This record gives sequence, structure tokens and C-alpha cells, in this order.
Amino acid sequence: MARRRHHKSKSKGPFHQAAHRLLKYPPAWLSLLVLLALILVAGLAPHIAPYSPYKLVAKPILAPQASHLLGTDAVGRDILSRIIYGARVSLSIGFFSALISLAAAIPLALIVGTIGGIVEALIMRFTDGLLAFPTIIIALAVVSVVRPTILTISMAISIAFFPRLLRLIRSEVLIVAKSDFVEAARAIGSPYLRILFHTILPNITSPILVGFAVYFATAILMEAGLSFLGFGVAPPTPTWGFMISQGLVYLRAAPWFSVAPGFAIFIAALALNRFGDALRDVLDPRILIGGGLE
Amino acid sequence: MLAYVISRLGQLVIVLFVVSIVIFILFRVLIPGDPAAAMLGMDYTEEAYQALRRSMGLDSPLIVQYGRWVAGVVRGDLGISIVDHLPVNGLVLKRLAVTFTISLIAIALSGLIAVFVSLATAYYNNSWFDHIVRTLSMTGICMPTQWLAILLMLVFAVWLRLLPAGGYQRLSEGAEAISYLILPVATLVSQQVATLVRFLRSNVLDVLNADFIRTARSKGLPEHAVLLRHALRNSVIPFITLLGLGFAKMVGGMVIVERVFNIPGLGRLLVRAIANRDYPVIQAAVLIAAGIYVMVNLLVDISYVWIDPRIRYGRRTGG
Repeated sequence: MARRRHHKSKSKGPFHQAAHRLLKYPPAWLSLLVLLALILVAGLAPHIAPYSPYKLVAKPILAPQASHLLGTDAVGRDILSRIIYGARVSLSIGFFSALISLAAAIPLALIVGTIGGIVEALIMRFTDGLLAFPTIIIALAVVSVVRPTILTISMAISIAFFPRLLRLIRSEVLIVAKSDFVEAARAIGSPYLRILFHTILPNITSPILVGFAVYFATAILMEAGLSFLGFGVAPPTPTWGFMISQGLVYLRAAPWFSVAPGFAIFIAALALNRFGDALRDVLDPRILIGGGLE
Repeated sequence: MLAYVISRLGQLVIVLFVVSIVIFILFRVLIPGDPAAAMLGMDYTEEAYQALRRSMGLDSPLIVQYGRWVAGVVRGDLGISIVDHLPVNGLVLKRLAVTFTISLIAIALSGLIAVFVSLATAYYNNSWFDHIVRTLSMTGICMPTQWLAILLMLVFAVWLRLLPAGGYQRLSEGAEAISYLILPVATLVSQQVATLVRFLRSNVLDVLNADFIRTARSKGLPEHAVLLRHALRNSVIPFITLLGLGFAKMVGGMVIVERVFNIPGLGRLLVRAIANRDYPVIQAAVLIAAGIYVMVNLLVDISYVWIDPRIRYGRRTGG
């Protein structure tokens, strides 16, 4: 019941308890460890990568060997170095997409979930209309309009996620808004905005945290799809998705060219989804948000 | 029932209206670049440009252009492609048939497999079988579609040489056509089943712990009857919801699978049209994808009422 209880104490609050339980739960810290490793690799790319991701350092399509652990690509760039630098694009787009879509969906969900009436009905009908577009098609459409950079692609993915997150968070708001402590806050005359952000918001942090992890993973997969189709951050910047499509032509002669960056995407998505699951197990097993449906 | 269907059809019209406005704003107002100029190429005179703009109707106010487009869609006329100079109807229909065949087979297969797998995992809860299925399901969800497709292609087409690496033949062309379908369908089905099982498993688990299952067992029904008649039936509603939601995911998967296996479907057409700014084709493809999604969800909603009489017509909210 931790989630539905009114959050009040500051010191030994539910978050301390949750963090404590999280560290004692192997799936949680294992996935967190992988995640931190990925972030370190992305952050320290210039120090870790054996070669520049842009320079032609050897003959094209070399097999994996001591000097090039994952071989070289079609023009002779080191694939391992390009995968290490590619982590920067994938992780930042994943992070920003989850952040932007949640930052937009949370305030609107709080308002829509408490306002009721014709306004709520109208907004939800409009959201239904937006839900009719498969996420990848919205993202493709937006990316086709703007110049592809990390920020614009994050925006495109956020626009695709937004109606889905709005629905999910709204359903959480609806549950909390019915509880006694919200009624009590209204009865003692708390201002509307204070009820939204001080009374309701702290009680939906668990689903928001789980949602962040899950949508972070989903955004990484979606970015991989977009760049695979040729709508990612423009070359020569290395992106995992576009590397897969570049390798497709050489599948027979150099399968590692496509397979290696795909593995990187898989590990990133797996770590985040596992972490989201672990968060849910620890915080509240009934949270509705789950990976895989977008 | 009839009143319910009619009210849902009314909502469908509203949703499609929103969809058409979003599409129009996105592709006619926001996309930079002039389609008439794009059609003429590099070298053209001002008169030719103005004449083409007039003939394409681009000189009218936007609201008139929107009205013309919607009127065309209602009549079944989707316009002319800017790149191919062919009617969009023909372009889209040919490819829709391909995409439809593949996704229909994939949906049917994944639904069938997912039901039995989730029934089994929930029944043997916490056994080694359950753990393997849950691991596989998580793996399937986290694999990028293009990666899974390439791995399958690598093993079955490049190394084992059992199946073609890509391409497509119409089913009417004989048995060989099936070999072209296996890898794309396998990719879609694996990911779809992974998702469905993840969500269905907990549903079936709840059902298996319900009182009526204990009652069924205590009155001496054989185990297979308990499972297939009582547990399965009561898990159908969430299953249908998920299948409807999964359909949207499948559309995304199709776009990528068509690219990997070089299949001439709607997804490839859309990607090419976006790259070429061929807006009549983009609008048509997106409208069809959205329209099918809305129809599928309408069918899902209607089937709730049909399957479970406890759901009162017209009293479902949001959902």
C-alpha cells in the first residue's frame, strides 16, 4: 500500500525505504550496474575508444582481430569505436525522450484527471485520435519535417509517446484523486494547484519512475528503428541503428558489422527494462506501466 | 447492442476526423518545401510553376485544400503521386495487400501461440518452464526488430540456406511463396508473442487463483476442462485488448521487417514517400494505417460486449 499512502515524512520517507530494498534486490542492482557501465562508456568515449569513429584507420570490412576487436566497416572505420561513440546518441535520445514526454504528460494528466466534465472528455477523445497513429509513424512524420539532431529526434519520439503516457498517468491520478486525503485537503481549503503538486503528485511518483525507465528503453529501441530506416541523426555521426542497416549489405561476408551494434541496443534496452521491472517489484507490483507495448 | 455499435461508430467518425486534421496539418502545413517545385525538378519557368500550382489546387486557401482532400478520400480518390505521377489508389492497394497478408498471418499465429504459452506458464507458475518463458519474453521485448530479423536471416538464409533471404511472392503463385513469408512472419510473431505473454501471464494467474476455478476442481472436473473451459474463457477479454494494442506495435514492426527482407509493402512505400516528400502517398499510407488501427479497436470493443454480457452496452468509460 506504500503508493496509496499519503507521503508526508521527510527523513525516513518511502524513498529511503525503497532505495534500501532496491539495493538488496539483485535484479535491481545488476541492471543498474550495467546501466552505469553504459553511461560511463558513453561519457568517456574519447578515452575508451581505440580509434576515432570518423577516421579511416584500416582496410574496409576487416574481420575481428587484435587491432580491431569488431573489425572495420565499409570504408575502413573501426566498428568498436563507432559503437562506443554510438552509445552517446542512443542514451541521450532515450533519456531526453523519456524526460520530455513525462514533463509534458505529468502536468496535463494531473489537470485532466481532476477536472472532469466536458473538457476532460474532449481532451481524452483527442488523445484517442492521436493514439490511432502507431508510434513509429508519428516519429517518422515529425522527423521528416525537421532537421534530424539529438534534440529534434527526442522531440519526435516524445510526441509519439505523449498520448500514451497521458493516458497511463491520468489513470493513476484518477485512483489517487478519489482517496480520502485528497478529499481532506480539499475540505481544509487547499488551493487547487497545491492539491495537484503537493498532495497528488507525491503519491504517483512510483508509476512515474517505472514509466521513466520503461520509456527510456522504448525510446532507445525506437531511435534504433528510425536511424535504421535512415531517419536518425545525420551521418557521419555513428548511431547503432544506422550501423545495422549499413552492415545489412555485407551480411554474408561480415555478419558482425550488423550484429554487434544490434547487441549494444539489446543490452541497453534489457538493462533499462529489467531496472523498470525491479523498480515496480520494489515500489508497487500493481503499477500498470510495462515495457513492450509501444 | 445495436445502439452501442452505433454510438461507437459515431466515436469512430470523430476519431477519424481528428486523424485527418492531424495528417493534413502535419504534411501540408508543417512540411517545408513546395510540392509543385519538387514535381518540376531543377529547371522550370515561373509560368509553368504557377500553372502547375493551379492545376494541383495549391493556390486555394488551406481550408479549401483540406475540404478537397477529405472529399476525395470519401469518394475513394487519394490523389496523384508527385514522384511516380500515378494514382495513389493503385500504388497503395497493391502494397496494402502484401502488408495485410503478412500481418494477418502474424497476428493469428501469435494470438494462438500466446494463449497456450501463457496458460501453460501460469499453470506451471515458478517452474523452470515458467522461468524460461519469462526470460525469453523479456529478451523478445528488448531485441530491436531489425536485429532479430537479421539474426534469423543470418542463420536460416545465409548459413543454413533453408529459406530465401528476402523478397516476396504472391500466395497465388504457389507453394514457393510460403518460403518467402516464413522469416518475416517469424520475426513479427516472436516479438508479438513475447509482449502478449508478458501481460497475459499475470492475468491468467489471477484467474487460476479465483474461487470459481477451485469450485470447478472440487466438483471433480478433469484438469484440462478446468483450464480450457474455465480459465481460458475468463482470460479472453484482456487477451483481446492486448491483441488490439499489439496490432499498433505490429505496424511499427512491419515497417522495419519490410526494409530488412526487401518486401514491397505499405511500410516501404511510406518510408520512400517520406524521403521524397511525396505527400499524397504519405497522407494515404498514414491514413490507412490509422484507419485500420481504429477499426481494429472498434472490433475489440464490440467483441467485449459480445463475449462478456456483464459489460453493459454504452456504459464503458474511456477504457
